[in-house]
Amino acid sequence: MSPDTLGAAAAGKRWNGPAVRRVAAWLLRQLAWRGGLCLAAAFTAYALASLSFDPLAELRGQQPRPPQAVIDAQARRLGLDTPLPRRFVEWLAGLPRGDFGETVGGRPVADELWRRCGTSLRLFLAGSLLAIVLGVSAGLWNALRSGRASDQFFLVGSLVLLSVPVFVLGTVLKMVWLPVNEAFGTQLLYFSGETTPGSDHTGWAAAGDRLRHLALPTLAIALPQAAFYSRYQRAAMLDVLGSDFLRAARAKGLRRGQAVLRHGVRLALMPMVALFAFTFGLHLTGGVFTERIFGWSGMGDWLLHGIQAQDATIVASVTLFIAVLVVLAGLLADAVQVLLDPRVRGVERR
Amino acid sequence: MTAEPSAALPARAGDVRRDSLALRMLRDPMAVVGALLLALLVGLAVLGPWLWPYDHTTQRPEAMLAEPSAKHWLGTARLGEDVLAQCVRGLQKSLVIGVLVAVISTALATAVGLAAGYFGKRADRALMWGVDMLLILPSFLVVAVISPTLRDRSWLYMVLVIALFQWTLTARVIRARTLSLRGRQFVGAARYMGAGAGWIVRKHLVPHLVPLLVIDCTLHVSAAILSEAGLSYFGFGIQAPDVSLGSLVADGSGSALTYPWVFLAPVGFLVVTVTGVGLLGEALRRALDEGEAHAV
Repeated sequence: MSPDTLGAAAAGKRWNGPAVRRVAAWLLRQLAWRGGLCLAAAFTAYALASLSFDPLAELRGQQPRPPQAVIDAQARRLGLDTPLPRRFVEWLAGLPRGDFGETVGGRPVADELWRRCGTSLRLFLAGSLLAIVLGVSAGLWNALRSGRASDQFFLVGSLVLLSVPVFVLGTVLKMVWLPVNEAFGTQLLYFSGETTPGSDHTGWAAAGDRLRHLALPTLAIALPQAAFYSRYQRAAMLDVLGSDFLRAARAKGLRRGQAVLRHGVRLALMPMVALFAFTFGLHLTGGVFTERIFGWSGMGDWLLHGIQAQDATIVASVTLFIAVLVVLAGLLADAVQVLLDPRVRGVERR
Repeated sequence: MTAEPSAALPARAGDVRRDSLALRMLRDPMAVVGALLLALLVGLAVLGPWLWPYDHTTQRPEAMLAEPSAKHWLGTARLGEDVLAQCVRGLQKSLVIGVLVAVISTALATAVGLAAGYFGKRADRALMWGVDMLLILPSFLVVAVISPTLRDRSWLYMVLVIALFQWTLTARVIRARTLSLRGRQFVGAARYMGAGAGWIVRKHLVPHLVPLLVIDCTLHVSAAILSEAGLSYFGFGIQAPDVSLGSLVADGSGSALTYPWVFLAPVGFLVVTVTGVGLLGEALRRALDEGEAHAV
């Protein structure tokens, strides 16, 4: 279970047969363990949803009330007559074939799944990347200027930004941008949707259209995350700035900027990698809100729809998607950490 | 307890530290601003209902969506409800939920983190596996999914569920800290003198964790207020006719551009509350860091 082998290989020890095999074994163990976590998460969500939802309520509430036989048939179609674990296992068995079950409405989940995955990933990856770049640079900048007015300003600013819920931030961004759009007389940036419906742009025009839709929701996702990262990055950099090896580098004749850039930043980035992995899931929730506010039909929007439609299959599919993303982020973070810091040895599985 | 000479010493040292902590906090403008904001908000939440004749359910059809005026300081909402009265009601909910969730989840995190870190091996494996699983299940998802079940019950159940899914990150941090503390000499010394696990945990580990716990507790207050607001915004939290800041924001966001006060008032209360808690937490972290630096 230790990243030891990966560390040894990364340190440039030996990329021969045994080393590759050890890395492969490490990767396999990680995948098995994390895959188990994903399935457990999906099962928890599925079980909770099945126990608390009543997918027949809508049918029963119709006027005139449909005959009991219709309701029973629907219950059978949804598998409500089989025990919960068995239903879950049957759902799982379909996954390798690309069959994600059916919605309450009778449509295959897989129909919408991949398109929505793409939508969510586009939005969330753009937002996260922007957040990391903004947050890390703001944090480093402020650490180097700690105690000055700009540092204080950023500190209070990030606190306020972290206090604004994502669903408010989205609306506020729209309110702020509306006069700008009006000033230009056109929709410079769009407030809702992924593309302009009915537009027949191709090539660059289509890409531009997408970007103009992407800008505001990306900002809504990125700003709070950036505020969050910047505070931790600032603390991590401050820790490093006080360390002996930087003083040694200065004594060796490097200027402050050189020493910090060449030796300090790399070390200060390391705790951020772990932080990113741990909080990735938390920030995904912000993505769910953003999709709703900006009218993107992604996974988050689907989750809210699934809950309103009392659909356990949709909930389980979205949960699995989220769990896989979080787990992959964790795996990536582990690998990056080992590559950044060859000292990481498997004393403790993180 | 009183007969032990050793017990008197740390107590006095603790007093000294607490004094200087209070002094340090008073010198920090961040702490003062945060504390003042929170005192104001708590005062408003407690006294508000006596200060004006409306409560959150009063509807005045003759004054629907009225602009802020002397009679209605923050205007009225769609059915003529006084926005200030609604916000104060929401504020009460937010504050109570924030504090309750913070206390429950910090306690839970401490128990699990200490158990995993101190007893190690199998307990550690099992507990951390559970923590990891909860970390990949967003709490919003879980609470939203079981919200139909909670709908007819007291909002206290919601508090429990939010707390149940919010302690995990803190537990990990506490476990890591416990692991490193456990290897320190004073713990070993206590063990060789025959101290039991309970004694070591209470007298040697917990005191070292207190600064961390205090800071995390404030973080949990903010996080809980925000998650309640998010849940209520999407209709999974506090249900009508009761209101919360989140549901008020949701009601107001549709008319944010035409009747801005309906939207901006609850947003203002929400942001100021969470900022106040955040300022206090940040100042606390600084003061405790400084204290630790002096102590070493």
